[in-house]
Amino acid sequence: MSLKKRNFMSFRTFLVMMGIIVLWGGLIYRLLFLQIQSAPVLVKKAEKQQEAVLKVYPQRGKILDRNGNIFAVSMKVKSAFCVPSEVDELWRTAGKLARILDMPKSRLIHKLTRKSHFSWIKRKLTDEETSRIENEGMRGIYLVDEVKRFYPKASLLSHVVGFVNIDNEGLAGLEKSLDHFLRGKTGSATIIHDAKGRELYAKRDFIEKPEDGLDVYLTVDEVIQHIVEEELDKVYETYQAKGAVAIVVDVTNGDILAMANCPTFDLNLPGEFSADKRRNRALVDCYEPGSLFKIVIGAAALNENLISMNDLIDCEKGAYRIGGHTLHDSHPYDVLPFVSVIAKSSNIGCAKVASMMSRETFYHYIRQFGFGQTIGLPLEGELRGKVRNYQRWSGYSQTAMAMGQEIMVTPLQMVFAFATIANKGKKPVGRLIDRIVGPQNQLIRKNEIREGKSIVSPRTAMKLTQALKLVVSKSGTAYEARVEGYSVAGKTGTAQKVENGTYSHSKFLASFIGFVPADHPVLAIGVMVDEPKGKVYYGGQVAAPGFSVMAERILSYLKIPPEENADENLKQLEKRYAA
Amino acid sequence: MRDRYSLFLITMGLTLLGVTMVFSSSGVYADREFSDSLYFLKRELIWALIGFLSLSFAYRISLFKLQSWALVIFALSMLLIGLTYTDLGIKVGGAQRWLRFGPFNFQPSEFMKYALVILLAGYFGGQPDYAKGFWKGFIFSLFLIVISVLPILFQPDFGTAVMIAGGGFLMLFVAGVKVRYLGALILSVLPMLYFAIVCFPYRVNRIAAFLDPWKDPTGNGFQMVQSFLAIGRGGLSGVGLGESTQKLFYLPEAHTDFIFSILAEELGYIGSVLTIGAFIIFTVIAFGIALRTKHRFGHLLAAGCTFMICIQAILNIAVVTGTVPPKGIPLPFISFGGSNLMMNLIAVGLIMNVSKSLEQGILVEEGDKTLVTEKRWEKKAHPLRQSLSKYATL
Repeated sequence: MSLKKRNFMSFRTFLVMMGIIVLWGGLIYRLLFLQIQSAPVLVKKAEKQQEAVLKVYPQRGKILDRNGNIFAVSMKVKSAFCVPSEVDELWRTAGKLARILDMPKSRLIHKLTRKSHFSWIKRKLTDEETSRIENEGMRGIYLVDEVKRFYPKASLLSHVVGFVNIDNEGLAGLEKSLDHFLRGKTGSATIIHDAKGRELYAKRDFIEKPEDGLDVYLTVDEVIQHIVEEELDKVYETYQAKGAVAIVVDVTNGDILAMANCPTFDLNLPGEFSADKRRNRALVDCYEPGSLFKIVIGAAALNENLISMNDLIDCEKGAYRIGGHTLHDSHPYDVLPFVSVIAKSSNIGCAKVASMMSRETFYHYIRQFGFGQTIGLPLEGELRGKVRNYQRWSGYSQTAMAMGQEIMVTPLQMVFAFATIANKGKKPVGRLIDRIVGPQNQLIRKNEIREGKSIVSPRTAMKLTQALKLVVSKSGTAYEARVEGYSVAGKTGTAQKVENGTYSHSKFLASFIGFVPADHPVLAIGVMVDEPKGKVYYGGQVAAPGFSVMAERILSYLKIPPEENADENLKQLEKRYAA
Repeated sequence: MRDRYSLFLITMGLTLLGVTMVFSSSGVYADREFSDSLYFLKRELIWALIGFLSLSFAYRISLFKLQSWALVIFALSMLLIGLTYTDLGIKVGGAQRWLRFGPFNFQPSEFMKYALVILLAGYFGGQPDYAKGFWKGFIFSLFLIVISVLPILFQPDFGTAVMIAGGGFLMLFVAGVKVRYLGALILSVLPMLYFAIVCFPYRVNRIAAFLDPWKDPTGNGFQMVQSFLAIGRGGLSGVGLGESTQKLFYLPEAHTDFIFSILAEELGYIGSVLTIGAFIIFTVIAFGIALRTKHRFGHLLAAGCTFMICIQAILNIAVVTGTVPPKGIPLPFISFGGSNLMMNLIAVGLIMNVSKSLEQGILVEEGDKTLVTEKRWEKKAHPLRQSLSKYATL
C-alpha cells in the first residue's frame, strides 16, 4: 500500500517534470525559428525601424571684405524641439520655456501639445537660451545642432551682402546671387536612432560627406564702407530724404570699394524692415540723371572735335526756345566758353552743344559710356536703365538728353561714366568679388582685373577733367565739394523728378559725382540724394558736402599724399578760362 | 546531497545573469526617467541581497513549523492582497497589484504563490487520504485555490491568477486527486476562461494581436513585434552584451516582462539556449529533490515550488516568443522585480530545505502516516495542523 502510494505520487511528479522538459524543448525550437530561420527578415525590419538618413548640413561660406574682415559668417547653434508625447508637467514646462525664450505661454502650449512626434520650439537659440534649457533638463525637450547665419556688422554693407532664410538659403544680395558658392553641399548620413528619434552614436556613417561652402572676398573695404555709410547717413538725416546712395569706385581697376544705401537695415533681423529699406538703390533704381549727364555730351563733343574748350557758346540770357519748349538756366548767362558751360552747368549751352552732333553719334557715346546696359556686378536685379534707340527719338530728345532727361540711369552706371573720364577715357570693368576661396583657404577662383574699353581719347578725358575741376572752383556749381589739399573734379546734378507726367518743382534728385585727386585719379565717389526736403535741394549744396567729407576721410585712410599746389593750379585754371 | 548546492549555484548564476541583464536593458531608460542609469540595478541588487538572506532563512526553517504555520501564512497573504485594494495599494496602469513597502514596492500576489503551495502541501501532506476523496480532496482544495486566485483576478492580474491556478492544479494532480475530477475541472473551466477573455475587450485585442501581431505593428501588436525584432536581431551569437538597440524605447517593459527578448538580442541563440539550459538543469535538480522525497509534505512542497518557478519561466518565454498570448509574467531570477525575485529565492530555499531535511533524516515516510522524528513537530505544530484538518472536514 505504502509503496504503491509513494510510486503513484512520484510517478505523477515525474510526468509533470517530463511535461515541463518537453515545454522547454518546445521553446528552444521556437527560438530556433525566430533567431535563426526568421532572423534575416526580422533584422531587416529592425534596421528599417532604427535607421534613418539624416541630412548633414555644411558650413555656409563667409563673406569678407578685401582685407578679410567678416561681413557674414555661419555659426553652429542649437535649436530646440520637443517630442510632445514625452512632455510631462505641461504647464510647468511651458512656463519655464516662456521665461527662458520670452515667448507667450499659449503658443508654447500649442507647440507642446501638437499631435506629432516632432515640433520646433524655437530655432537658432542664443547661447544663453541654450545653456538655460540644458540646465533645466525638461522632459521631452531636446536641442539639435543647426547652422545659423550671423552678420557681425549688422547693417554695414547690408544691401550688398543680403541675407538668408531660416534654412540658410540666400534670399537677397550676394547671399542670393552667390548662393551656389556659399551654400556648400548638404551631405547625408545613416544614423541609428532610438524609438524617440534620437541619434545613438556619435559616429555617423556618411553616405555623402557634406562640403562646406566657399568664402567670398569682396573688393569692398570695410573701413571705406563705414566712412561712406556714416557720412551718407548724416546727409540723409539732415535733408530728411526719401533715399540716398553713395558709391566709391577705384577708377584704376573698377573695384567697388563701397556701396551704401539709406535707409538701411539690420541683416540679422531682415524681417523687421520693409522691402523699401532693403532695396539696393545703387543698381535697382534708375533716375533721370539731370546735369550729371552733361559729361557725356561734353566728352562726345570733345572726342569728335566738334568743339574746343574755349569755344564760346551763347547762353541766351537764361531762356531759349527750341522744339516747342523753353529751356532755362538756373542763373542766366550771356556768352560762355564751353568749359564754363560745363562748370556752371548751363542747360542752354549744353543743348546747343548736343545739337552739333548727329543722333547716331550721340547715341553711340551714350551706349559707349555704358548706359542701357548693366555694369555686370553679381547682384540680383541690376537695371539697365532706359535708353531709347535714336530712331525713336523726337526732335526734342537730343536737347532733353543734354540736360539729363528722357533717359534713365542707375547711380552705378553714372559713377562708372565718371570713372571712365577719370581713368583717361577707359571704362573700368566693375569688380565686386575679388576672389573665392575654399574651406582650407585654397584659391578657387580669382576675379581678375580686366582692362577697360577705351571710350574717349585720353586727351578728351584730360580736357573734360579740366572742366570738371572748374565745377569745384569758386565760380563752379560745387565749391562745397572741394577737399583741402587735393584737386577734385566732379559734376553736380539737380534733376527734377517726374510727377504725374510733368517735372516736379519740389521733388529733386540732388547728386554729385566726382573723382580725386583730379589729375591722378584714384577714387570716383558718387553721392545721390533722392528727394531732399527743404529749400536747399541743389546737388552742389546737398550732395557735394557729403562727397567732400567722404573723399577727405577716404584719402587719408588710403594714405594718398596731398598735392602740394592743388589750390594754385585751380586758381590758374580759373584765370585761364575766365579770360 | 550535492544537488541542493548545484541548485543553489544555478540559482545564483541565473540571478547574476538577471542582474546583468536588468542593468543592460534598463540603463538607458533609467538614465532618462530617473537621471540615474543605475536606478534599477541598485534596487535589483538590494532585492537580490534580501532575497538571498530570505533564501537562507527558508533553508533553515523547520519544515514542520512551516507546515503548521501554513494556514497563518495563507491568511497573511490574503490580508496583504486585501490591502492592495485599500489606500495602501498603488495603482499602476489601471491595476492595483502593488503595496508600498518603504522605498520598495511589493507585490503580494508573489507571496500568495508560495503561500498556496505551502497550504496545499500542508493540507495534503497532513492527510494523505483526503487526496482521493471528492469533497475533502478535490472540492476543498479547489476552494482553496479559488479563494487565493479570485482577489488577484480582480486586481486585475489575469496572468498571475492563471499561473497560480495552474500551479495549484498541478499540485492537486501530484497529490493524487483523481484524474477524472481534474479532467472535468478543465472542461468546466474552459468556457469560463472563454468568457473571461471575451468580456474584456483589451483581452480580445491581446489575443488578436497575438494571433497576428504584424497586422497592427504600431498598435496592439507593437510589443510583440518589437519583441520579435529583438529576438531576431540576436541571430546565432547575438549583437553583444549591452549592444541591444531594441531596449532603446522600442521594446516596452524591456527590463521586466520582456527582458528575455533583450537577452536573446544581446546574447543570441547561443545565449538564450544556454539560459533555457540552465532552467532545464534547475528543473531536473529541483524535481529530483522532490522525487527523492517520500515524505508527502516535503515532496509536495518541493514539487509545488518547482512548478511555480517553471510555469513562470515557461510562460514568460512563451509570451515573449509569441508562443502564447501575452500575459504580464516576469521571468524568474532574471526580470527586474524585487518581490518576485525574493519570493522565488525563498522557494529555492524551501526546495533546498527539503533536500537538507531528507539528508538529515527528518523526513521519513512509513506506512500511511508520517513518521515524526522531531519532537517539537508533534508538540507545537500538532494543534494547528489538527485545526486545519478539522476545518477541512467540516
